[in-house]
Order: sequence, then structure tokens, then C-alpha cells
Amino acid sequence: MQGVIKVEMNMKSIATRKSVRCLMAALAGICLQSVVTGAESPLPAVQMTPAETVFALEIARPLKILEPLLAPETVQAFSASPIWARIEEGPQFQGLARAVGFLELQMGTDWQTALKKLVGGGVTLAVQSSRETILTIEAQDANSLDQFIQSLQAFIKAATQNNPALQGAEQVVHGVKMTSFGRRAAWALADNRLMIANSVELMERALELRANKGANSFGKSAAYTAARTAAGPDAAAIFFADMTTVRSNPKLQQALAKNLTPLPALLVGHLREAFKKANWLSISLDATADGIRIKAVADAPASEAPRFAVPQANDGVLPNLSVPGQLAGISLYRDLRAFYQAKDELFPERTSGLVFFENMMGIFFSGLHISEGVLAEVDPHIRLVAAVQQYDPEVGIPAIKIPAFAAVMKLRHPQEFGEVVEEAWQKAIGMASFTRGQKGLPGFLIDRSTNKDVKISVAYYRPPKDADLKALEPRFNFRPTLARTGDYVILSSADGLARQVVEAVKKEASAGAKPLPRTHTAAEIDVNALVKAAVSSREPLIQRMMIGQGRSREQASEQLDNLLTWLDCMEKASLEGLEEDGRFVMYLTMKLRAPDAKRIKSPASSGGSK
Amino acid sequence: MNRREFFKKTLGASTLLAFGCAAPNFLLRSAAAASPSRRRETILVVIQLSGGNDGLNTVIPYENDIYHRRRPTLRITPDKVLKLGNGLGLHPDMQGFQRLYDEGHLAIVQGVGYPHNNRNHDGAMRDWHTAKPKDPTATTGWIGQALDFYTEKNFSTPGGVFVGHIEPPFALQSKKAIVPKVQTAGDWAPVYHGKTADTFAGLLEASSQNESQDEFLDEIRQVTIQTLRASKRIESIAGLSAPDAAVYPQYRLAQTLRTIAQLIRAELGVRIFFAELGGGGIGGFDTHAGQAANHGALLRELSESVTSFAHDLEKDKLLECVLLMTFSEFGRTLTENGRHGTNHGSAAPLFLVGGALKKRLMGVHPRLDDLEEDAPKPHTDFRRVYATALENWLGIESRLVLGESFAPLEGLLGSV
Amino acid sequence: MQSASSLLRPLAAPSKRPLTMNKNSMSEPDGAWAPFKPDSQRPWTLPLAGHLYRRAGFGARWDELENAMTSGPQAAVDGLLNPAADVASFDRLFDSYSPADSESKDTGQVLAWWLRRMLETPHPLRERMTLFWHDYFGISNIEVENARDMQHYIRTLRRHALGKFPELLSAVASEPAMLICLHAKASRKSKPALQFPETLLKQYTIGAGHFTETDLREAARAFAGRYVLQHEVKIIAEEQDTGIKQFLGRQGPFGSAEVLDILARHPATAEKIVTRLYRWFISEADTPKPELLRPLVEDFARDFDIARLVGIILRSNCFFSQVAYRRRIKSPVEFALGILRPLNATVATLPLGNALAELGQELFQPPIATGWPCGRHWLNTFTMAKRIQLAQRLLNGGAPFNTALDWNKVMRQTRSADGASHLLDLWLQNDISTASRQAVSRLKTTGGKVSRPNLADTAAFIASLPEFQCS
Repeated sequence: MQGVIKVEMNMKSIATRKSVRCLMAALAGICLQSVVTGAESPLPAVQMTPAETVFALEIARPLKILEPLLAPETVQAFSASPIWARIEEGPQFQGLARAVGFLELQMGTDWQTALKKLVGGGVTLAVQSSRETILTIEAQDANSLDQFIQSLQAFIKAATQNNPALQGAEQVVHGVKMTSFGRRAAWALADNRLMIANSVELMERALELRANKGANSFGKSAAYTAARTAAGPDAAAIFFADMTTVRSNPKLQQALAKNLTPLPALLVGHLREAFKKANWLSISLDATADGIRIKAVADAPASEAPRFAVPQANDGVLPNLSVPGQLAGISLYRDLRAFYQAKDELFPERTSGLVFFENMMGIFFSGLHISEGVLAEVDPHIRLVAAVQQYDPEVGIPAIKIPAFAAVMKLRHPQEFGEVVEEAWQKAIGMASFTRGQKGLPGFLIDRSTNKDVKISVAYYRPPKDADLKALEPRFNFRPTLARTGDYVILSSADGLARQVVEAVKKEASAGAKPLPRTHTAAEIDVNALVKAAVSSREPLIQRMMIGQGRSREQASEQLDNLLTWLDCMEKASLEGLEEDGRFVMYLTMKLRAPDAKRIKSPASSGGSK
Repeated sequence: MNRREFFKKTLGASTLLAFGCAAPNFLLRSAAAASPSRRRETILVVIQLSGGNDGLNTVIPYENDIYHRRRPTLRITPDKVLKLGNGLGLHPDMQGFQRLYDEGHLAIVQGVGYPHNNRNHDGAMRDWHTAKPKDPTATTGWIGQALDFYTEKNFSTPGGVFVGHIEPPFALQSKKAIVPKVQTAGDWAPVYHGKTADTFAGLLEASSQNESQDEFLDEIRQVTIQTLRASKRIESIAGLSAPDAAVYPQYRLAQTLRTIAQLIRAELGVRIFFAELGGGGIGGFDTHAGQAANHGALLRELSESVTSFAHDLEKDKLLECVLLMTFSEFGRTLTENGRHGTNHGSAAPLFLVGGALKKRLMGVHPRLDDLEEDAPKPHTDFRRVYATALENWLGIESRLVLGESFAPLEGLLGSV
Repeated sequence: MQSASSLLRPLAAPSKRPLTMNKNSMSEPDGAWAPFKPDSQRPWTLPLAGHLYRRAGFGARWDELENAMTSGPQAAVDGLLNPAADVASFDRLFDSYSPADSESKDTGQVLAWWLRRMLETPHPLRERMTLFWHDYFGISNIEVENARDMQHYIRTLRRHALGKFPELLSAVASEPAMLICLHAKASRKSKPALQFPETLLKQYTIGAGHFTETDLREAARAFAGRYVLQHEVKIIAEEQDTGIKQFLGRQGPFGSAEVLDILARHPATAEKIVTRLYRWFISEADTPKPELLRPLVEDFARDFDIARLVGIILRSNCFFSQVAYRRRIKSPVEFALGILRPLNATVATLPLGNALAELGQELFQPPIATGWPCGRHWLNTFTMAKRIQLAQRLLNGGAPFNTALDWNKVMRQTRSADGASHLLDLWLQNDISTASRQAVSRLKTTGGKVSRPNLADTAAFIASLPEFQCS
């Protein structure tokens, strides 16, 4: 879906760009040519680009992407959405619509089929370090290309009639007729393909490589071959970047040299180290029944990365938990003790936040050494959950609703260390209450209960008398909770969520939790739930957009609707980071669907009963 | 190529962009000794160390038994200490400072503090900022107050600048002067590019000579002309592609000091710069637990950043016009607590870095057998250090700023 | 749309002062404050109309200027004091936006909404007066550290901004923000807080020299028993000092209300306020002679009606003379809004608040008790650079301000096809020096980076002219 929009929008702005007037001119010349068809199966486009290619985008199976995007249901659903209405009102839309109509007429089919035929064989774009670029478009079959050319014939003829300068110089290069415009534009037709380059030299080299059957080309280089293998045979498109060249960019160097702070270092520190050493980066796209899957591979040995985030043997993260109203979940494999021991390399600059953290840990876990005595007790399998809250009307519903968060950790020695954690938690709550008291703010009450094998401690604010129980202050979103069950310790910002997490953990334990092998990070976002939550908080969001972006109320409302429509196209997304074949690999999977205006407009019922 | 030649080459000899703006007629006391050559203005750079720096592990009395006994795990052993003489040594991570000390560009003022320090982050820091510990209702900071006097005579140039990313500290709170907050030199400039700036400035100059004698509007014109000049100076200095990736380390404080060096070179008329290490508030120096690694890392950042700053300025003979001063809201206790850290104390040493220092060590190390609530007692009031900076360096009557008379430290700086 | 063009063009050549007022009439205070009646000697010109809207509002839109030219100065002032539009529903709408978090000290959002309000309000004079009182009392969030208290305080100021001063003072003195800022959170009978009464006497009302140490102590006693608890000012009965107090020559069991009333109605207070208002509305360039202000002071001291006082000032000969014309420097708020409001532009006010702080005016954080120094203090080489940068970023659109500005609509207001001329008319009423005019026209030909600068660049350049910095 998104791809189509992008194509259409780009075509709109493309019409005005100077560089593509060259393209139009190039196409002009095409009309006067006949198509050369090759006798043998043609060379892959990547084998017609030089080995020093820095960036390459190879869409080998365009139909895999185009089919679902251009399916009638999708197109219809999109046409009904408000975003389309906006595009239709745009000034350049009429021109675009006419062009598409013309194309349809000439090709004799609807535009979706026409598009599929034209690019169905594949599209490849290759960029050199000198910014020279070559684009190769392969049609599904010779006839399609022919048809397309003929359909443009009349149109272009009229355009270039008054402008002989747009006719280019022709020459035969390695057996292929090439038309060039100065040194800065050239195109050629070979083997069902249209090749366009912004440099005559590059085009000549491409044709030379073709003549030499791709010897010493980019497509035959070790890096590309490895990237292709890593991407897998089903990939519909691959993007390749030569990292050694890319890293010489001073801005990127500066960004990579910057010191990390502890939290980002914990999440992605190990990846950044790998990224600094990678020879190449490949990002591939595949469309499956589950949605779109994007795979990113960096060619750097995972064995040289800091060890705190790499699972041992076939260990890995535990699957994400699932609770009602869940917005997102992250499951991590992080050896906190190893992380802390590596802090000098990972984040050499001491932030006040880190020092404060260590001070607090020293107070809460008095007498225990922070890395040997505390962090070492925490098992590397850590999970975080965020969920929409369900409020008890008798306790009170805040005017502004904030989701609840929970951290789920396993202890190596739950019996002994569990009590230590409880003590630390009580100290923390007490300290928070005391500090608030110093500022004249209300503090917490603590409730502790044991139910079979579950111990729950909840800290909560007393509701003030004469308070409107339907519109409490934001602080009533927070009821810090500590729950212990079995090996697990759960720290949550609300007791409701804590209880649900306890249920989920127990269910998982009885079913037997199996870790995902070699996976260090797994995240899930329920975009559908996120959209629902946003819809129920329309007013604060609109107000924030009014002052944060200077919109009028109507504009902010419309902008919010647009944003929600885009988000509504995604049902959920998940991200996995793992070690595969000695490299770090990331998978991003997005389940898409057609947006539904009804889901966005109708505000969900607020609060909800338990 | 010296700086004069450099300016001539890059900016041309246009009168519009003449070298430097008018030297502010800054000295309120007439005690300044005028010299025939054009004197550069003196500049004070203040660095706040937030959180309470542990002086005992910074300037270490390594020959004192009590120190070793009371800090079983945190003590720095004599073989690791960077010896300075007099039984004192620097923390091993401060090699840069040792170099500066040997060069005569570093001075240590010992036992600095004030009586009845309440040892509370907010309260103590506020006392250092306002220089009025007995007056909790003070509405200005000491630098802000000094800048208010400065502004009387030089309202078109900001006398002080805060370089950093945290909230500007209360020390800079003023009644009248507007104190810029800057993160990079580019925040100040550029305003207009190339020809537009020249055209504009030229026309403004012409109009102030030819047209109606409206002093009010004229003042505004003058400020605009000066702004255009200043902007162009900064642009040329900041645009100098520095081979100094090697000179300044990657630390944030180092980048801050680099910006300060650029602004000093641009001769904007700024007299006081303020920077901060530790993050403000309950800052990184508040090492209640696990002090060894954290304190070392911070001192390393301080030492290397300041040393690279000093050497950078020295290259252009600017170090003799600059005095850098560090301070922290309190020192720390002698005895280490059970968490390999220390608690809030009182007295601590203070560093001064510059090219015009006449002495290297001021005062004796406070006695370790005569403590107040487990911390060494201060013998030098911090306001004397402020007075030294104000009177002997910047030429401002310190009594007006501090509210009382405090004797400057003798023999530390030559007369201005 | 356009009335007789003669009314719109100044009769005098642009570089001359639009209205001369000879020294003799200035020595007659009554003449100075009499309502301005234009005649052939001193006509009603576009620059004067622009001047009125700059001082009493944040700059005029073109239609406002045109209306003012047809209706005349007195009617224009009437419209500013009592706008025809429905101010009440506008107030209700904006009051409903963004309830401030009672636990946060971050005033960013509250400030953003205030700026938005100033931009869109049909009653800009009242917002100007709210700013005046915000500056006058100098209550700063640096000490208060609470967004909700500051918002409540500003709303109180707004409510009484054009009301009666004794009511304003009484309301403000019971604001938690004021008591917290002046360290009067807990005023005990045995040890009453001193900074608050001292500031009250010295800065807010009668001023130094009109009271003794005893008066101060007695005033402090009267305020004992006031505590700030949970965002409210509460009186604790046993901490109140109900004894007899000797205050300013009077005697009685004064409480806080009585002391405030005595102070608010004191002639020295009237003088202080009139002097501050003179600086705010007339001129920052010179100090007025006491004789000049005497008629105003006497009139104000009758019943301390702020609206009437402001009305007299705005209608007066003095206001429309060269004593006042362009004799102030725009504060950062006036600078930014003076660019945006005449163009009917909307802007993201959240980042605008931060940008104004860089220019030296961080709303909600004035220098404590004294307010912003104003005048020449606004301009130094840094703030001037920031002004120019801000003008460029505001007018060129894009992040972070996202200025929504319809240049076509702006140009449609005038028959002139030249954007630069129209902007000079709109913002400066074409009253600029020859040098500035040359600079603007040269900008079109030489440019700088671009060979054909667009209207936004020209506008930004005009906003950096010295004339634009004047209010």
C-alpha cells in the first residue's frame, strides 16, 4: 500500500524535476527505436554494474510486492480513506490522472496490470561513490516493453517536436545502441531491459560488463554474493551498502565515535560495535502471507561483539508475554553483570544518571556489591511489557490516561534474593514518599498481600476527598507494584498489569517456556491497540499538536486522522535480533491491512470496567 | 601566521570588519596599569563540578597515615599518586593536570569552603552561586551581579556566556544583563552571508553618519553593526577546519571548552564563561557508592579537557589572558562509607589554570586530625577566591558583588 | 477596501518625524494628556496608527490599519479598550486548553498556550497589560517551580489587568506563586516572613523612602499566619498576629487585607505605577519630569482604575507625539508577535517559547521582583543575532516553527504588486531611513546566496532593520 502511494506521489513531484526531463527525453528517443531481444537468458542486472558499487537496490521479484499492493480490495479501501481524498484535491492530481488514463488506453489494460507488465521482470538501481547511478528496468516480456514504447510514441513526439535539442547522440557500444545527452545522461535497450544512467561512462562500462558476461562485476563479487545468500532465495528486493566506503563519510564517523549513554548501550551497544566493523550491510524485503518481512544483515563477526548480549549455546530470549490490552512487549537477553563490567568500553563518559543509579543501588542494596551482589543475581532473560490500563471506577479514573509498564525478571536465587529485592523496593518507595513530603506532595501507602505462591506489594496514593473520581490527576496512573512468584520478580507501574503479568507467567511456566534460540532481542508492537489508545486520547493529542506544530484545531484534527490512518494500515509489527551464521541479523515483520475510517473516527469507550 | 595576518587574509581590510570591536571601558576602579601596546582583555572561565568533588582523592595527602587508614579501599597508594611535592599528589587519572602544574599553568588552592556549609546539594550549590550563604533570599548570582555592573558601561556586548546544555546555573542570574546560553559557536552566528552582510553594515554605517540625529535609533544601529561584525568573526573562526580532532578529546567538557576557545578567539567582548561537568543538580561527582571508577573517569575528563583547552590557547598566546577556575559545592568525608564511596563533606581544593599565575600552591592541606563531622575544615573562604578573580583579574570591585569585603589571595596573580 | 489614498500615505516625507510636538506644549502637562485631536498641523497618519497598535497590541493587520485611518485615533483606542468581538467565549475556550500539571515545574506547555493566546486574542491590549503586570511583580518560576501555580497566577493577573489596582494587589498577594517566590510559604507569628512585605513595600507599592523599618516590621506582623498548603493560601488562626500595629502613621489591628488596601491606595503607589506605565507605553528613552506625570497621578489616585489610566495615556497628545513615537525597544515577545500577528500567521508556540528565552525574555522567569530591565538592555550582539535568526526561521517556514503563512492572502490585501513595499507599509508604515530603504532594494538585486530572494527572505531582512526593533 505504502509503496503505491510513494510511487504516485513521486511521480507527481517527478514531473517538475529537471533531472527527469532528461528521462523524458530519453524515453523520447526510445520511441524511435526497436527493441533488441537477446537470444540467451539475459545477465542479471547486478552483473552489469561495476564492482565498486557503493549502494545497490535490486528488486528481483517486483510482482511479489506489487500483487498485494495493487489488489482490488486494497486499492478500493485506500480510495475510501481520507488520505486519498486529500491527494485528489491536490493541484497536480488532475495531470497525473490524465497521464495514467492515457497509459491505460494505450496499453489496453488497467494501470495496475500495465505497471506489473512494465517492471515485472525486475528493477535494479546501482550507485557509485562518485554519485553515478544506473537504473535497469526489466519488463515481464518483450511485448510489454514494446507496447509501452509505442504508447508513449505519440505523446513524446509532440513534446520534442519543437525541441530538437532533446534528440540525443547515438552510438553502438558493445553491440548495443546507446543514446547519450552530453556526458550526463544515457540510455540503452538490451535484453528486454531499459537501462538509464546519469553518466555516459557508467553506461559504457555496464555494456562492457554485459559483453564480458559479467566478469569482475559487482554481481560476481564476494560481498554481494554473500549478501544475496544471507538475504535468502525468496527475497523480493535487496538493498546492499558497502560499509567500508560508507563509513568514510565524516558525519557518520562522528556519530559512531560519539560516546553512548548507559541505556542505549544496553539495548544496542553490541550492535553498534558490529556495525563499526561490518564490511557490508544488506536489507532485504519479502512479502508473505503474514505481511512484509524485512531482514537486515551486517557482515561483521558476532563473536567479536561484547558478550553481554549474546546468548550462550542455543539459549535466547523467552517469548514475549501476552496480556489483555497489551501495547508492546520487549524480550531481552542481557547479562547485566557482564554489561556492567564492560561499562568502561561501552560508555566511557560518566553521566550523572549513572552515578545516581549507583548511589541508589548502594543504598537500596546496602552491603551488596552492585555487580557481584546485585546484577549477577538477575538472570539474562528480561522482559518488558506496556499495556493500556483498566481502571476501577471506585478507585478512580484519571483524566489523562497513561499506559502501565512492567519489567519481568528471573532471579537466580529467588528465595534469598527475593527478600532482598522486596527490601530494596520498600526503601525506594519510602524514599520517594519522603522526598515528595519534603515538597509538600502526597506520598504512598503500601499494601502487601500473599496469595498462594504470589506475593504482591502495591504502593498507591490516597484519593483526596472531594475529588472527582472520573477525572483524577495524572499521578493516579501510577501504583508502583512489586510481585513475586516462583523464580520471577515483576516490577510494575500499576497493580492491574502486575497481576495480569503474574497470570501470564504462570501459564507460561506450566506450558514450559522455550527460549528462541540465538535471539538476543525480540519486540512486538500491537499497532492496532496503539491506534485505539490514541483514538481515546484525541483531545490531549490534538492540543499538543496545536502548540507543538502550530496547527489550527481543524488542521491538527485532520493531521491526527491522517497519522492514524497510516498507522491503521499496520496491525502489528515485530522485531527480532539474533545471531545467524556468525553474523547479527534483524528481522522486522509487519502485518498490514486496509485502513478503516470507522476504526479511527469512533472514540473507544474510555476507561472501561474491570 | 599570527592572528592579525589571518584576519586580514580572510576578512579583508574593509573598515567595516576591522579587527576587534571597541575594547570595553570596563575597569570600574582606576587601578589598571595602562601599557602602551593594546592590552587584551582578561577572561575568566568557571567550571562547575556538580555533586561534590572528593578533594581528598583529587589532591592527595599521600604521606598522611590517617588518610590511608580511614580509606581502606578508596585510598590511592603512594606509588600510584602523581607527585607534586609537599607530600601532595594528584589522582592518577589527572596526568594532564600534572603537566600543567609542571608548566606553571596550574595552581591549587587548598582547604576552600565556608563555615556552616549545610552539605545539601541545592543549598550548598546555591550558596556558591549567590556568594551569600547567610541570605537565602538572594535574587541574583555572583556572576550575574558582576555582569550587571559590566552592563552599565557596555550594554551592547554580553559580558558573560554560559556554554552547556543544562539549565543555566543560578550564578548567572542577573537583574539586567542578558546572559547567552550557547552550545556551539554556531549558535551565535552566522546571521547574513557574504555580500548581504557587507551591504547591510555599510548602509547602516552611512545612515548613522548622514541622517537624523536620533540617538535612540542610532544606538540600535550601532548594535546591529557590531552584531554583523561579531557574526562574521565567529563564522571565520568556527569555519577554520580544525586539525584538532587530535587536540580535543571526545568528552563533552572538551567540546564545550573548544567552543569557549573559539568564542575567545572571536574577541566578542565576553569576559566570563561558565561551563559545567557532572550534569548539574545531584551531579556525577556525588559518589556515595563505587567511587573509585566513577571519580577517576570524571577526573580524567576534567583533566584532559582542560589541558587540551590550555594548550590550544597557548598556541595563540591567549593563555596569559585566561584564568580558569573549578569549584564544587562541597568536598567529601574522610572516612569511606560501607559502599566504597564517601558522603557529603565541606572543604575541598580548587583548581586555577592560566598563563598568568604566580604561585602554584596556596594554603596548606587541612588537618586530618581535626575534622568537623568527618570532613576536613575549610581555612580559605571561597569568596576570597571570587574576590581574587573579580578584583585582581577582571578589575571589578568585589565588595559590590559579594556584599562584603573579602581579601583576595595574595601573590596568586600579578596586578592587572 | 481602500479609502482615499491620501489618508494612507503620510503627508510628510518618510524620513521626517510624523508629528512634531514643540517643547512648549510639553511643558503644559494638561495639554500633554488631553485627547489627541488631529488637525492640519498634526494629522492622523498611518505611522501613528501603526504606533498605536504596536504599543496597545502586538502590531496591526492591514485591515485594522485601514479601519483606524477612517475612524480616527479616538475610535481606534476605543476599539482597543473595549473590543467588539466576543472576548468572553475566546477566554473560555483558551482557559479550557492544557490544564497544567500540578506536580511539574515545566511551564513549557502553559507558556505555549499563552503565546498562542496572545497571537489570536481579540483583546490584545489586555494581554499587553497582563505582560505588564507579569513584569511589574516579577514572580519567577525559578523559585516557584510549579506550572500550575504559575498558570493560576497569570490568570489572576489577566482577570484584573484592566481593573482596579487595589483588587489586583489583593488578589495577587494571595497567590501561592507569589508567596513561594518571595519565601513566604510559612509566616509565623513569632517569626514572620520578611522578604514578602519588604518587596511589597519597596517594589510593588510605595517604594523606599516612604516607610521606616518599623513600618516594615508591622507589615510583616500583619501578614503572619499565612501559609501555602497544597497550592492554596490558608490562614492559620493561631499564627495570626491580631495585635495593634502602627503602620504608616495609622494605628489599628490591621490584618493583611487592611495593609494591602492602605498600600494600594497610597499616592506614592499611584506615582510608581504611573511611572512604570509611562515607560511601558510612552518612552524608554527618557525619564519623565514629575510635573508631567502629576495630572495622571492625581487622576489615578482617585480610584486606581487601571483601564481609565491606560485610556488617558493612549488617547493623549503625548502618546501621539515624537516624545513617544519609536522611543521604545520591542521586547522579544513583541518582536516575534510583531512579525506574526500582522501577517495573520500561526506558529508552533512550544518552540517559540524557547526561542524567546534565547532572546532574553523567558516568560514566567522575569528577574525576581524587579522585572525585565527593558530598553537598551534587550539588545546586545548576541540577542540581536538571535533576533535576526528568529525572524529568518519564522518567516521561512519549516521546522521547528512551521509558520502557517499565506503570502498570497497577505498580498491580496493591497493593490501593490511589490511585496517588499507592502511589508514596509504593514510593519513600519513606510517610515524608514533612506539607508534602510536602499538596503531593502539592494537586497532584491544582489541578494547574497540567492539571486532572486523570495518574499520571506525580504521580510526577514526588514525585520532585522533598526527601525523594526523600535516599538
